[in-house]
Amino acid sequence: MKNVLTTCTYCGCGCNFYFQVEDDEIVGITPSKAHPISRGRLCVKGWNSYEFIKSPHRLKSPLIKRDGRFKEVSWDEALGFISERFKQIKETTGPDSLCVLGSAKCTNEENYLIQKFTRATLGTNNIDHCARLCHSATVTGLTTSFGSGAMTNSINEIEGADILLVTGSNTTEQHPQIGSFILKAIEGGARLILVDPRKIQLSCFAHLHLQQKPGTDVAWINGTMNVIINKEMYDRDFVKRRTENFEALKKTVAKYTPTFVREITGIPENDLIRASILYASHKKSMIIYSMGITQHVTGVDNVLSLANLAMLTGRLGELHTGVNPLRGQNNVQGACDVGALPDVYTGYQKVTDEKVREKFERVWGVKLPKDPGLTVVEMMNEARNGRIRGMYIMGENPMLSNPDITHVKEALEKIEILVVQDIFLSETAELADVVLPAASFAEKDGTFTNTERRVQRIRQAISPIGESKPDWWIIQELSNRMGYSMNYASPEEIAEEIALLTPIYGGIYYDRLEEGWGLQWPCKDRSDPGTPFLHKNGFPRGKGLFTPVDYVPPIQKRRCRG
Amino acid sequence: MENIYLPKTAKIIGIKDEGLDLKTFTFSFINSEVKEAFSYKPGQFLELSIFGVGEVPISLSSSQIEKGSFQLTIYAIGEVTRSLHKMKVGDVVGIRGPFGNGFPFDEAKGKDILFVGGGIGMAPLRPLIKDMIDNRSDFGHIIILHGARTPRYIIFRDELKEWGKVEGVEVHMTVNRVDGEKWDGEIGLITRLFDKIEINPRNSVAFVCGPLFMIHIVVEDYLLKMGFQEEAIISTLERHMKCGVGHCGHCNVGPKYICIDGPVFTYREMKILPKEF
Amino acid sequence: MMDNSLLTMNKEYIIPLLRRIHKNQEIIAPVKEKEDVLFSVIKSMDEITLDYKNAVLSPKGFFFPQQEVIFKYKEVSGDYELSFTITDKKRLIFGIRSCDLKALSFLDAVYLGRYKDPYYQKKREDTTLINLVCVSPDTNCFCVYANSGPMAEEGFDLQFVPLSNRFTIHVGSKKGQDIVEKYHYLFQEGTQKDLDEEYEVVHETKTKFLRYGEFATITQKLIQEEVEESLWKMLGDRCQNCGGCAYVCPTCSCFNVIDRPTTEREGVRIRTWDSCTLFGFTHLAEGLNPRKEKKDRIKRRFYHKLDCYMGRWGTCGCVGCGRCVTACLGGIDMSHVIHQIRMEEYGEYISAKDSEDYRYKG
Repeated sequence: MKNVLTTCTYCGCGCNFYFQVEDDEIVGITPSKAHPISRGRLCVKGWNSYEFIKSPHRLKSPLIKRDGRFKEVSWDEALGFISERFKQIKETTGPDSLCVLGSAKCTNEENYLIQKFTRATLGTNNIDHCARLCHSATVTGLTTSFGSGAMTNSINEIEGADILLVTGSNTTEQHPQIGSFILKAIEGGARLILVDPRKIQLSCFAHLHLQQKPGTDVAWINGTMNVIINKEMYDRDFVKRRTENFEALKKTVAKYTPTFVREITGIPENDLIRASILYASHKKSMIIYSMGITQHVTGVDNVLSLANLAMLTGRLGELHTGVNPLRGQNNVQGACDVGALPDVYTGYQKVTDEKVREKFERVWGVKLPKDPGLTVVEMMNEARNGRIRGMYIMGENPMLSNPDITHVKEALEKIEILVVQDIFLSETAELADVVLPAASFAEKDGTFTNTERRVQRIRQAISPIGESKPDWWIIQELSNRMGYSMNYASPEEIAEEIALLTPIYGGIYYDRLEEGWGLQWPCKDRSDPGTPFLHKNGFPRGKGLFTPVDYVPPIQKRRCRG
Repeated sequence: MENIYLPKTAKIIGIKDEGLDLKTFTFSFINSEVKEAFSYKPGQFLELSIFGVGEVPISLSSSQIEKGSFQLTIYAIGEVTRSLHKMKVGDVVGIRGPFGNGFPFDEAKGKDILFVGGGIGMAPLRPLIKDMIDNRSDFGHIIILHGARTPRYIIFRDELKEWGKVEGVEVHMTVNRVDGEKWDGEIGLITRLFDKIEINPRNSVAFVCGPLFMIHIVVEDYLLKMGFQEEAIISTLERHMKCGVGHCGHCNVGPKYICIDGPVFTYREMKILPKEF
Repeated sequence: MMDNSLLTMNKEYIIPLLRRIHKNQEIIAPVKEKEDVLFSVIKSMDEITLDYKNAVLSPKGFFFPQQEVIFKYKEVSGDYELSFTITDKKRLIFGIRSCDLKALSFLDAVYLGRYKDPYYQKKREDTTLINLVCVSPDTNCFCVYANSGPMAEEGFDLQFVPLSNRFTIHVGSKKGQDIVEKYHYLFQEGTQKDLDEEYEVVHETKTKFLRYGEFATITQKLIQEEVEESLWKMLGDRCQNCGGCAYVCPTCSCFNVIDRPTTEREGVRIRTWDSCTLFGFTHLAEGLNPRKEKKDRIKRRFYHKLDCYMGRWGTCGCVGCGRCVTACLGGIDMSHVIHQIRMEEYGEYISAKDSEDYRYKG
């Protein structure tokens, strides 16, 4: 019997637990009591996560579709088939007629490898993943404001906060451990300002619950800043020393008086004023948000507005403050960090930056494409237009997660060769020409990066089910067949390459992850203990940028009027 | 030591349609020793397995007199029961049991008997009615009330008719509504039928089975008011017992386990349970 | 009790003793994994830690695993062949705490009652239990109020109480007596002085508890339904349906049964830990659920632990190990709830710093 410490595969909280393993079978799960997030707790999914691993529906062998039916084939045949077809497409219509989806469920090492495969082996920047559909507004918004698009502070800081401004997040459902920290903070005397159209579990505990009309976030956030500026409660020093473009912001928010905001949002004037005062009058005020903020046509505007609010009050760069997007999937943060995105390599280094590209070309030993590639949504459009002919999907299910499923189905059906690598025969896999069985998180090694930028190990507990293989192994084998040689003996070697090429992951090595509970990036070298909260003495972009935005009615409303 | 979790396999030897989504299955154990050793009392239940799908508790709806085989009357309502409804004669299922206490039989001797069966609630009552009719002289007057959703849902239709012909046995039926069927009987809730009967509550036992709300109304608004003693009102309770032997905890209510302390309870016992029933 | 005479053993002899036992049987002991302590089957003596308050989970899983195969089924010529394995392995658990030891008697009551659970029974019979009395309770512990610790009254084969440089040892069964006789050279007769020091150590331990829990008075209130419904509503609002309270509870014994086909013709039936706080626990096929709301399920859980054990087995179903307090995402706290019921304080669950600003609005 052995206890294998690993990281949960469900959400961005990044709980750690031990698998109890006997004779290559998982017989139990024990949460880690010492882990800073788990603290001896798990949600129902974590407690029962051994269930899906042994599901009878797991894919156990490579499948090729012939005459509309899947046939079991050998790895050799499946990989040979894919490489031949991909090579043929690359040669006839060029590398940009191929595209790839990485996975917020897979490890950093696997996402690194698949973006390397896309760029070096296939020769295109057409790589993206489902972060596009959840928090890409966060990455864009916070990068504009601060120069870095991640959760600024750490989960356990919530407990010590005085004010929690939670918006667009049903935290107790979606991030149970973070919800638990919020309840704990309230027990310790913190006030919860909840801004959410719905009555959710947290409503029972909210000191103030502002129920805005859906899609009116920019208006209430501007209103908050209007109150704070009018009452002169903003942090003049911070604004002066650490930000730019304040006057423009002041001008824009001037018209968002509480009355004007009520007309748009339905939030009573008094509630908005009380919330604004509460947020601005305490030093330890944290903003926590999730997809209720990002999944709008104005998603980036919403994020920019929250960043404006935090900068205005100087609630940044200190413990128990910050702008804290809660990332959904277990490794959506990591998949972005290691470059499963069309415009950046690892650590958000731009593909258009010549110096960066040269660095990657030197290490990878191959010429790399210059222009940013297609996003998930663009890939589907181009597939339907016939300009994307081959697609490789690792552990994602666009037939469930993308908007407009009919459109996605048409696009995927049009693709000449669709390869899906997954642990189950998902809705997307059903449409594939080749399906490759992948190993689950319990059957491989690697790292996940949780929502607070904490890079943590997952460890192999049992052998892969059936003929399934770890995703990194599959990509490596395919790349070798396509003529670009990869020769990693283990995920640890891949992680080492990530560290060499990525300034924010520069000090993240497996031997260091054995001590303590992971490392929070930026972690520049082996002596760097990691960074629990960002922007202490400055922003990556230098000064924080106020980006004033005006309220625009939600598109649904505009359409109705039209 | 016998493993109480191991089902014995049985073959379906007969299937009778009882109306909408309702069938009575007749089973016979495959192993002849098992068949020989199998005995049970009315009111007890079995755990029925469909291998690969799951296991559910079902009340026996046949009488022990039908030796070598037994019957279960089942709605297709969950995963296991829907799979069963797709099965045919000759298919094999797993059976554990019988479990539970069963109806008091000897204690009811010499008394008048009132049966109140709502819908599928007739199923567990059927073997008891049969046994009593077979031992007709041991019991006083027997009254059977049955209520169904619509005429199509009346179960054991032929038998109800037969029982009604037996000396000293009356049968009354009602339906909640008529849904296009031909029906010239009573329409309304089962409680309507109380107007039609005469019974001396002092020397009677009432067996009430059916939906929970029906049990409450029949017992609290009728039987008790008529003067039935709390211990002379007998019902069965329902839970999804996963084990049948008091281990899995699914049927635990207050200090009682429905599977081993029940499923048959007197009203006196029922009324002190937490307000879930 | 086999023998009431007191024994002692030099603390340094514990590893030599276990090493000798380990030659013939499996040993399950507390093991430090990173910063957590877990009961594990040990391979070598250096894995064992004596520096722990209690393990994250009780050793319940060694008798009633989180998931366990009941049988395998296979369709063979128109019939099914069923096969099952009952592990046959002598083993010893060293270092179980008194609270978890008492909890085993609850599992015994359920699994070894009128119907015997063959899987549990065999594991239980094959296991020798040595409890190590806890002298530094964890922050969430309240065994002393649940009459389950720090010392155990029964249920152990051997009971070790750690004194300054030695253990006092109580023999609780024939199995324990056999160990003492076999390795007699490691044990000594105890004296009145040992007994006095033991009393001091245990007495001091009892003063170290940070929590309170007065079970006796509240049971009556539960039976009489004197507890305000608002309490269950408040607790229900905190519950996040994780099931953790039952999973970590050393006395919780409920399980779910699932068929897991491997092919069309064969597969396994397994049982897994279940929790009465989950919606599906009492959900019936026809859509009825007698415990539909979270408040109903939380109420049921507390009644089950605090009242119905009393009603059925004459004892309280909580041993005060404090694990459910640790495990609850919503901060539901058994000892706090007991306190609330006792004091009849149903206004607020939380004592916020600034009650003016904080209002519970469930």
